[in-house]
Amino acid sequence: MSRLFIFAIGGTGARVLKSLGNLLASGVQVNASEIIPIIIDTDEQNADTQRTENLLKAYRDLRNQIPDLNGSFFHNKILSLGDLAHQGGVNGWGTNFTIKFQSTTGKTLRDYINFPFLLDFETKSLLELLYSDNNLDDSLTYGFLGSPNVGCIVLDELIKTKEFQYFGSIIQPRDRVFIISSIFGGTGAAGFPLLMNNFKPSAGNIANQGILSTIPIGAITVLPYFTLPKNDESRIDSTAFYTKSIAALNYYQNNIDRVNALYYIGDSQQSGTYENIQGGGQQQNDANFIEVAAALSIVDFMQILESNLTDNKIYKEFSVQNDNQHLRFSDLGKDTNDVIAASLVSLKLTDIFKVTVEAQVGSTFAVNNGFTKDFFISGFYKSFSEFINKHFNQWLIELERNQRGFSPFGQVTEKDLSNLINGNPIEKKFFGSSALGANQFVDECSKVKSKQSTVNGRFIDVMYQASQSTFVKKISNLI
Amino acid sequence: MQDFFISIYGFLHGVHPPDWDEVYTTTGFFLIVCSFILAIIYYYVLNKFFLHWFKMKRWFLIMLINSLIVSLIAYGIAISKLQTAWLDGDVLSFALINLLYAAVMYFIASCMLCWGSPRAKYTPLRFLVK
Repeated sequence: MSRLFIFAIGGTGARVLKSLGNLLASGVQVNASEIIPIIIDTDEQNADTQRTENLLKAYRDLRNQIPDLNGSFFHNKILSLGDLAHQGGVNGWGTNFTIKFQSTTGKTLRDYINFPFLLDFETKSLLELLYSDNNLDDSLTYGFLGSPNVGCIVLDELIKTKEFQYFGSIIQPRDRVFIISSIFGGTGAAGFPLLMNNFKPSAGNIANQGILSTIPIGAITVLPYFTLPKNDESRIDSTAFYTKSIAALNYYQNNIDRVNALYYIGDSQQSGTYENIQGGGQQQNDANFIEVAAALSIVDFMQILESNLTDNKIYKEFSVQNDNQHLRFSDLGKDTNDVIAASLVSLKLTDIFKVTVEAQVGSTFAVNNGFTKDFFISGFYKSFSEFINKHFNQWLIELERNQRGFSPFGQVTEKDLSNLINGNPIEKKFFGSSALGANQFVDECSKVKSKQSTVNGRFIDVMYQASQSTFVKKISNLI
Repeated sequence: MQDFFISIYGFLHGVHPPDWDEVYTTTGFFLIVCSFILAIIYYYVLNKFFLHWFKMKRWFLIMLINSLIVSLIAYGIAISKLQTAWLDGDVLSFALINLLYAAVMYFIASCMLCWGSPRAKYTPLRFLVK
């Protein structure tokens, strides 16, 4: 099985990666032996990027504690380039997923290119022709403020970073690359063509250029999917998103030729629920269903046989079955539900019933699996619970309150799960109790014969298998 | 079997006239049957349909109920068979002894029946597993 390198460029790239991380945690499987996300964002303080970085680190740390587990929650291994370097005997890289650029904090483009010291009059004149005074004098602290013409200069440094050079040196013929970028902003719109140019055989910037020019490459281009209110203090103007997208698409049409599978996604029903923040620690946009769908393009790309990834490019789009402002499972297509429904429901059930299972210390299945009081106060269990609360549940909350929203689950308690699947209540029994409850879930846990050698692995395995069989018996018919 | 019950009860109840023999035998049988029935109910009924009955406090509750039932029945059997006064000292001590023996018998029944329980396989022997 191949490794998958994912370049997530800019804020949208990071947010799509966050959705992918949550999907993978719930058990969605990507057909890759290892996933190596590489976040490209010069805005060091961007809260969206930070949240994705934290999620990926939490995922990786949990996954490292269940090394032999497959076909369950956290199925795929996620590693950073630093982790790969460490495995290869290169130390001192750190374990971040975000590529470290030369700091642009407090700098303007004029500072960055040493504009006052350019001796060549023609060069200066050309730059003044291509870049407005705003472009030249805006701070680069928060990225490129929706200006890809600025981004393409600063991001050119990417190729020189040790991370990118290392990536070029370890890429193998069976690996695949996927690139996530938006087309309507600054970083993503500049970064995608820049990367593609460097993957061409003629680029010559990377050690294994020959391999890089032949391996399958997929990409998703995220078209406008939200609007921002006018803010005099922000350079970002969402009314220009479409114009910029059209210009960029024109460029892609003629210049992006190396990619094997290109996915497009956007949303015609955009609503402005975000604040217009240029970047930094305050730019923390709620998760959006478009990002979930974009993350699914990665799952799809890895399912395409290599023989089908030829010079004849594959173009794909995504659609829902019912165009509702608040999507539920029943509004998605069958193909989408086949990929995500069982997994999302499983992690949700695990979240609901983990307290019940915790209270089963001493019962037959708990003793058989080694689920002792000590296990439920262990670092692994705390990390698992924290992942669900801090990342998965928060992600679901944000998806639900966003416009367009995604509300797969209704309000439930441990004792009443009848509204678990939003819009399709679980039928109650004759005497009024829910047909799905803690008793049934613990019964399913008792039936699991886990072969995992560690208690951490057994816990994840038991919860996953119990959730899956509960899904098949009680819930699948509602989706 | 009668000799067995006579010797068991004689151990704590002391030597008594032969008219107690039937009381000992009848009570002894009831002690065994009641303890096993309650253990079966505990391990295979309550622990199938209810989540938290595997816990020790619930096991002790059933043990207490078993002891009270056996003790009351023993008291009733003795009164009816011996035609004695309601507050006869021998009968009361016999009832108290059954309180203890029922607990012991319930423990033995538990050890024999717990292995197939869906949720309480390790109750009350959890200390034997890590």
